[in-house]
Amino acid sequence: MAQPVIISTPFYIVKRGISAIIKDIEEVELIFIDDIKELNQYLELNRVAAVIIDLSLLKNKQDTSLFFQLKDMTTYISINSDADKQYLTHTKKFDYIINSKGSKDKIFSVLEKTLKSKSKNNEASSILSERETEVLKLVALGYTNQQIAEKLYISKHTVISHRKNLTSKLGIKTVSGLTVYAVLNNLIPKDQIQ
Amino acid sequence: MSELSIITRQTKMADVIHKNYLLLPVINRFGIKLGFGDCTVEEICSDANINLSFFLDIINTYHNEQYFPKEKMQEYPVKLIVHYLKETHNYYKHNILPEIENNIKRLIKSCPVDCDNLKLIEEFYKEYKDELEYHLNNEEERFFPYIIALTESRQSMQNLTEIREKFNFSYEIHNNEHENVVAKLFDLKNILIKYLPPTYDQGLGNNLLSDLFIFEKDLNDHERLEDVILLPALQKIENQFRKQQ
Repeated sequence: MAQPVIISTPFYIVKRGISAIIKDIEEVELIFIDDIKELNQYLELNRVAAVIIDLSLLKNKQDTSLFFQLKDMTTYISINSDADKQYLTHTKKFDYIINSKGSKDKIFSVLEKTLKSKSKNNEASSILSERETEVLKLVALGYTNQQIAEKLYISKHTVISHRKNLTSKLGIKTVSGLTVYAVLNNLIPKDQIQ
Repeated sequence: MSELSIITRQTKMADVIHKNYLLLPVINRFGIKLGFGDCTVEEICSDANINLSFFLDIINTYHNEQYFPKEKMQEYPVKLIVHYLKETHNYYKHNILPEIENNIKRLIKSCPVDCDNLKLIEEFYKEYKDELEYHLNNEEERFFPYIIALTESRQSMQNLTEIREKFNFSYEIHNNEHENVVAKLFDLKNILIKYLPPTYDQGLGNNLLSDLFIFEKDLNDHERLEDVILLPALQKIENQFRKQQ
């Protein structure tokens, strides 16, 4: 499954430019969000491989604090131009920085580093952990997050986190889809499906 | 970029299909059928009394993902857009969905032994189909008539309340249903591609998958019209009604 990458920029020409470069490197699912608030909402609910943010998008210095409930799986890249100097302090929070005046090779190498290393990570982690398999079985049997938490003696928050992980590893989002997967792999018997 | 070029009024309709045969069901929705000869898009639209500009925007949006003239499309009459969306629903309900179901049945027939897994897929698809049809019907009974009724009514808060109660449309339910059907279709594809043991005729399996991909593309385009054009239009009209207080 192509990994999702968000491009956030107010400029059409930058959007097209970055998309074209990325397409030369790796097949990814590009998501375009040109509003910081929307970006944050999206990041709360979804896991993405990388977020590429044009600093011209930020209206004031407070804006950045919003999206830095940093997630370790996500790489943050900023695009800077000289006009963005006032945001320089924020750029420390980014994993990589692309200068819009940078050479082709530099821009290419930053994106290549990010995207290629991510895809390796994904391949390595596509097998479910024991705990994730437990959660998957219970989801497939129709238990709610609360019930699963009680059964496994873990917090509801942890259940949700396991669910996010197994969904992203398997590439299956819905409960019915997970149920089909569980039966196909003999994790639960077919006659127990509700 | 030649294959993704924009289709214009002077393009011959035959060339439109040569360029992208996936546009066939789209032009069918406008009542256009094969056998174009050398007629241009403009000639055919004029003969069939079709809004040329709307037709071009719809097929270009479908043809080239980067082409989406949002502001221009927001100017089209709501009724015109709704009519197109309804035709699309009909195509889904009467053509694509039954066809996919038949494809799955053929797949099961082609399986010599141990076909429980395929039956599981059939059940999953039936559930998806029911939910999608429910969602489409909901749009036809609530969303579409609601927005049309608003465009035809005198703007006042009282009228808004009355019309709203009559159709009982909820943005939240609409979005939830929508997200769910999108996710299920994706899951179905991925289960076939990654996890289902191939105990069936491969050619039939490929047909099914190819239908699912084409349908997904069609559905995405359809939903984009609703999400980017029609829902914001509805919000705008509702706000105009509220201002008349």
